[in-house]
Amino acid sequence: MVIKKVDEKKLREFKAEAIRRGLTFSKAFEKAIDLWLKRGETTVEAVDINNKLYEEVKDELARKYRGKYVVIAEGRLLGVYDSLKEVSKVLKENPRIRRALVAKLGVDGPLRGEPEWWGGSIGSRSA
Amino acid sequence: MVGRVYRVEKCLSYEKGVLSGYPVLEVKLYNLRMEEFPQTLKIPVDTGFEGSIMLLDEDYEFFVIGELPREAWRTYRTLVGPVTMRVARGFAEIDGRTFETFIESPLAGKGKRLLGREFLNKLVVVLDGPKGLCCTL
Repeated sequence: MVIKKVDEKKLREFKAEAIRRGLTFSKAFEKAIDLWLKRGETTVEAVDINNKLYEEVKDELARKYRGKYVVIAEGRLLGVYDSLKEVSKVLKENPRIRRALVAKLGVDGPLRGEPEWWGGSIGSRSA
Repeated sequence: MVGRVYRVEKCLSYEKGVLSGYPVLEVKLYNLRMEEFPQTLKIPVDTGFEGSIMLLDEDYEFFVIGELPREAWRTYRTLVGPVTMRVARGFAEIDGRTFETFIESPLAGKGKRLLGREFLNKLVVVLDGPKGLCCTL
């Protein structure tokens, strides 16, 4: 297969990322196709729409429901719950949902410092 | 000096490394829907990792039913520069005891399976190097 007129910079970055992930070029290309066709379970879109809604509602919800759990899926607010047990229950009642954002209001957020992973390297093989 | 007596729950043999063996713990994992991860994992103990439980990127997909917002994902300092991890909530069962925990996996890269300090600090663990045993108490 020959593909012409591909942006060389993007192609270089794609190859470098494939190497970083320990994939051959063809495997990485296949994964990219899956993602584009949304066959992969993780879609960037699903993460983004959940996070977008969370950003919009988090301050107001945190004021009202600090310490409780908010659940967002498919870009919709499913509800605010007192405990993870209740969150589990609502997720079981919605088996169609594959990905959800679950945040403890007023608690989950950016860390103050940068944690460490001594000697950490993600590599291409598992430990 | 005051002595303490601990009762061993379970011991696992060290896994073989290239130069020396390394301690592992056997963990059953559940996602936030309380579905059990298909395998019981023997995960290396890594006190150099400050986070909770790191998994491979393909393992992590099982836990995205309880993912934290992007702003709460973590960026670790490593020898090769910063590494950002996606983070989800899940549960880990060790010797019949269940703990709420964070499941992490690198945003880019394959990842590793590791038990970090944030999780290990929930347990009493003995590393018996001479016998090559990792025991929970």
